[in-house]
Amino acid sequence: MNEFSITKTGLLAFLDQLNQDFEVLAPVMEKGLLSFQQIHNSEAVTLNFSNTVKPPKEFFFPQAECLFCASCEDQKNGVIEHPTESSSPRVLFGVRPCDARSFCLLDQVFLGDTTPDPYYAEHRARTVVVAIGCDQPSQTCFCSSVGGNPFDETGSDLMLIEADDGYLVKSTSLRGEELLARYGAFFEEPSESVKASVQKTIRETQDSMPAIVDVSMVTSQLGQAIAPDFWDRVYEKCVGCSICAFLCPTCHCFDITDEVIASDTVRLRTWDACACSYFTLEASGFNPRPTQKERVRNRFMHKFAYFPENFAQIGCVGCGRCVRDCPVNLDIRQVLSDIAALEKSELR
Amino acid sequence: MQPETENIRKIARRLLENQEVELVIGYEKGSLPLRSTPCFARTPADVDRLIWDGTCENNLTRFLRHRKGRTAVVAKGCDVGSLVSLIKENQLGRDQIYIIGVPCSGVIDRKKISSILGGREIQTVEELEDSLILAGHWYEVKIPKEEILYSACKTCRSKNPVIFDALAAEPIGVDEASSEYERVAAFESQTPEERWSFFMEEVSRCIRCYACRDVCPVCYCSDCFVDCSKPRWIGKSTNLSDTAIYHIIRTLHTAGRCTDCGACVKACPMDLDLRLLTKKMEMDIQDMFDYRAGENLESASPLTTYSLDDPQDFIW
Repeated sequence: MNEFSITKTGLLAFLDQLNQDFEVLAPVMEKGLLSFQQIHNSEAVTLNFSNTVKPPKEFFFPQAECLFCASCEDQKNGVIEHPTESSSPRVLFGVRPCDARSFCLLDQVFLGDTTPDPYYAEHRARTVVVAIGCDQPSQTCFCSSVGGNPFDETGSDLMLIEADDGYLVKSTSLRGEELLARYGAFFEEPSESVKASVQKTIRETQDSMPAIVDVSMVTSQLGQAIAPDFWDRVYEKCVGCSICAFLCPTCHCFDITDEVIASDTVRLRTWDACACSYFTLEASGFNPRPTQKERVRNRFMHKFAYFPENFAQIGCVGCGRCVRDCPVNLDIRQVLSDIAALEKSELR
Repeated sequence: MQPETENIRKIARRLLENQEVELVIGYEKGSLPLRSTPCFARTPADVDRLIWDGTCENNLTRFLRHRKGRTAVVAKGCDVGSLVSLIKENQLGRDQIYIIGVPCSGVIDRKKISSILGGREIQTVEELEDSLILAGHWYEVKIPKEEILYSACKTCRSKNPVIFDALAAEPIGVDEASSEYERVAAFESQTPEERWSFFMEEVSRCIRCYACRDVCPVCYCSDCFVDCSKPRWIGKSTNLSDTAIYHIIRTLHTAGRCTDCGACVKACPMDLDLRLLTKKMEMDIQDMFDYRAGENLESASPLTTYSLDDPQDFIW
């Protein structure tokens, strides 16, 4: 593992250089909303931020993706074509450790052992992830409760940690090492002062973020053999929108539909959300999750019971976006606390 | 404790003890500073959690649909307006609901606060009558409430509930409302190109989460046009044209029924200025039909009532 340091000015110059060789995506503040956007100049980048409103999963798993298209027009004759989108190399800069971790979770789903998703794979392969560690976690953050931490290196290629007037830069993968070697001119040996400052930051930040919820108590038996009326007390205020699923870095459910305009047809994959009433609606009209109770229960079960059963990892990275933006303040951490509290009386 | 809180609890307790209602829908303290959350109270312990303060932003009437039995709901003036629309449309029977009306001088816009604080987080809140004192790491600020009310609240004409079964506080004196259509009028004075350009840029942020629809009390269709695939009215992607049409159609569907409660704006995670459209509809309905949604149970809803002398000069 290589460690270097870079000043703030140096970092901006580095981003401008990267922009010559890569498509650079970075946090940009526009009309009061922070989002990852392609930049053409490092001046556009916001470095002092908490996190973006939308998670960065859209760069690997777009909200709408053309899987293939066909046209009856002229010579095209209905032949299926695959979309030819950009395959140029990208740098995704300014990713928080929780979001970087989410990429590894999504990899489990989309790059699974038997049939990797070629669309996702292609987006992933051409993207370098540069993370920035969190020295000021938000009130809504709970990464340390779900197996992460504010300086977790999982899922990133480079990790930046603020120190003195710049950053400590660590390579956290082979690809990161190669990047540092290629652009070595921008980096310096880190001074002892920088290294000490970083150690202090890491210690103090981690102390300020103890695990606040115990997620190990969530089991697929909850609401059935165990605490049969538990979900009755949780679901009522959920309005069934898609905010939690769409803003979640790890939610990955999707719908596939064909859209036809004139003589062109597109097979589209779009984000879907289990909170929606029609999510499990079957062609017969039967819906195995007929009320909001089953749908809210599913969110928790999927993330904290089924996903761990399938992938040995919790399906949540604790970014807190759902906590911040749920229109009715249905707080995932509160529900998890309530489940953990059951342990004393009803769970064994 | 605010007097409204004490009164709401007293009323709720009585209603549940006497079994006059099976459920009281109100607000309780949320999990974050300056947030409250809907509370479904059925027991005395539940009642003790009910609160009223300047963070009670949700329109709880949205939770009354498909209920059997009698339900009490804590409702601000704007929320009661929604009830009027719902009763007129036969979605609720007047006798099915017990309205605990709350005269309200406005609800706090948490996003505006976040913007004023520049992303600094709030540790403590002290609510005074006209201002809030917010404090956090290395700062304390006092902000006048009028600076941080939701935009709908600033020009509110329904501070006092028009119908109710009990009032949680004395009615509020109402000043002359400032021109509530100022923004719409200013927008209307722009060229069509300017307006279209603004509108398309605004909706380009939309992520089609449909929170605006799902929190809206009058969006109660069991089969929304958005989810219909035969015919497909709009596509499922964030194609700008589809997104624009979604907002235009939802605004048209709620015209004459929307009471400007602002639930849509409060819910939107991308800060879309949805009230620009809804307020325009409200203004048009007022001009064309001399009607205002949510004002009283007696007036006939213009888009669902036919009369031989309906105005038609705007059709030609």
